Amino acid sequence: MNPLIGIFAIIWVVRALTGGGKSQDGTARAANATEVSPAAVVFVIKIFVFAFAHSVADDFNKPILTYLLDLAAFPIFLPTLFLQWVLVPLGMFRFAYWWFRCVWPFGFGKEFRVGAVYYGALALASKGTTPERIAWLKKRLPQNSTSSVPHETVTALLAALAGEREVAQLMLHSIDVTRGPRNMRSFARDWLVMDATRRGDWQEAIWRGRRGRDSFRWSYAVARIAERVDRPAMAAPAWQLIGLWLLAPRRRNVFPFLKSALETPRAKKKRPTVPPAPKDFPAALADLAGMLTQMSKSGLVPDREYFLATVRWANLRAESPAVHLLLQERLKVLDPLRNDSKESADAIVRNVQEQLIELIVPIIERSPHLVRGEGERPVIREAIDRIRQSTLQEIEVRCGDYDHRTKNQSSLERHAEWGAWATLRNRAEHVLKMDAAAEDALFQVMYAPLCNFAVYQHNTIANHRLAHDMFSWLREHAKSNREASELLARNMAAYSWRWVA
Amino acid sequence: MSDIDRTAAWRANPFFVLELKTDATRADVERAGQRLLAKFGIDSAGIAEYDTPLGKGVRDADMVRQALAALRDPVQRVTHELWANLAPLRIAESETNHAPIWEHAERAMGWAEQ
Repeated sequence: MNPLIGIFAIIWVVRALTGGGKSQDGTARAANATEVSPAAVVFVIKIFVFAFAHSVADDFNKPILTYLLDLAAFPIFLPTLFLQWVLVPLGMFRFAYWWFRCVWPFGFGKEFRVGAVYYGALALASKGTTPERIAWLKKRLPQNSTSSVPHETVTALLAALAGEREVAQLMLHSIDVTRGPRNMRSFARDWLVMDATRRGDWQEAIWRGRRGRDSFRWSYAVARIAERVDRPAMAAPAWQLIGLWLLAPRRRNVFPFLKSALETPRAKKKRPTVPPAPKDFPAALADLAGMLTQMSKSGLVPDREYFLATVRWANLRAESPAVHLLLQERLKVLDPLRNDSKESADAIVRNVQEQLIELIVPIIERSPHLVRGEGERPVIREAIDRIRQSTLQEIEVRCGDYDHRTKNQSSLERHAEWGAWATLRNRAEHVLKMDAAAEDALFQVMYAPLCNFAVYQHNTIANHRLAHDMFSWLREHAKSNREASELLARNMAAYSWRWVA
Repeated sequence: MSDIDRTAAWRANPFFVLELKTDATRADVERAGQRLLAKFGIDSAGIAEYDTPLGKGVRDADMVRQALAALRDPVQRVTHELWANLAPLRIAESETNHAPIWEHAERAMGWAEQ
């Protein structure tokens, strides 16, 4: 018998002993000690077929046949490596899907169809995709009646490929922070760290990647490199970053990031400066226009202090007596018969402030951290009020929809349900980023409809992960309501019990 | 260039659309408006684009008509004068005092940019 067969037999024994036969959720195996993994059965069949083919080849006494069989052993007995090293980088998504289905590798338990879609989606990701290709894979994803980590990871991956980043973020966050198979959590965290760096949210990238003992090589290395970009003075020295990079997978792809990070000197960041006081309204407007133009060109958000000072000066100079006088004079010149110049000048200043608010509202909506804790400043306060009011109205409408659907026992398709929750959660967090004091009001609006809906999702639909995410978010914001907090904790524990059972 | 243009509304100021200074007389305003409308009538090349202190703007005949109407009203005109009369732009260094986004992050994960 060929020595290769002996090696593969050893692989099987090692996989069986070290968790190749773990349940798909990565949970304890004790309860299923006698259950044989389908992948293990397929593996044994593959060994027998391969051994038979070898003996036939030996009978023919043709060395070429033996070599060809040895060559075929790689994709057949190490299908995961074949998929990761060959089919995924080449973007052969159909081939990856069917190959997985034919050879049935370890790692996905009975959910081999989910695994096939997973590798097909990774192949799509590596070479770019089209809606038709995503639809091809989606059609092949089984519609599970209960939630499983691999199924939800693949759903999130397909959402990311389709450009639904909010849904992908939320689903992968849920997978990252709860227990589950290590390979799925590693993928979830890598994607989340990548997404944070892509958005320039360095703090999030660092927080996600650096998890102490619970870190993964790629995301940890990227987080440490991100530290060098964002906080050069506190970052690791170059030799350490190079070491982490050498240990991480996908080194060639990360190298440009490492290179640009190492070009950043390990010096303290310049302290943000505020613009000098403009001498008049045109100068204040020039500062404002400069800031907005720069934002439009670069897509970057200005320093918080700079933004606040620029808006404050524009407002102060608009209210100045000099502007009032100028307005009154201009009105007299343009309309000599007018006898309400003073009132009209006041109205014009108010109008200018309104336009100023309209200019800053989209900026605050996109970057609410700019105004956190600044709710007492004129203009800023009105902008915050305007955004908060419209956002709370939207949240109330969405909660009303949850209430209605709980009463009617009506659930959307799993992916759409995550999308609806992603939108609601992001809107609520948006309000909190602007105004932390709104937490109690927000909780009062959201608690009952969302908690009831989560219970319905948990008990009736078996969408446990979504329910857990909702309970967990509500509990995080239930600071003022101890009773609710305890109830939510019990609900979360019910999910955890199911998880390990 | 970011996908969000934060100064589009500002660039649509009637003084910028009509390419006038804020001290223009009523006659100047009418003349500038009619001249532009005539050019739009014959589809003159390059007429749709105009320069402003905040960069290039794009206009059509309807915007020109609206600008004319706005500048005929004294209160609206004075409001627009305030917004159009800005000093040369000043872009402080501190605005860019933070790490830029990593545009090619997806490549680092082995993904094509979606």
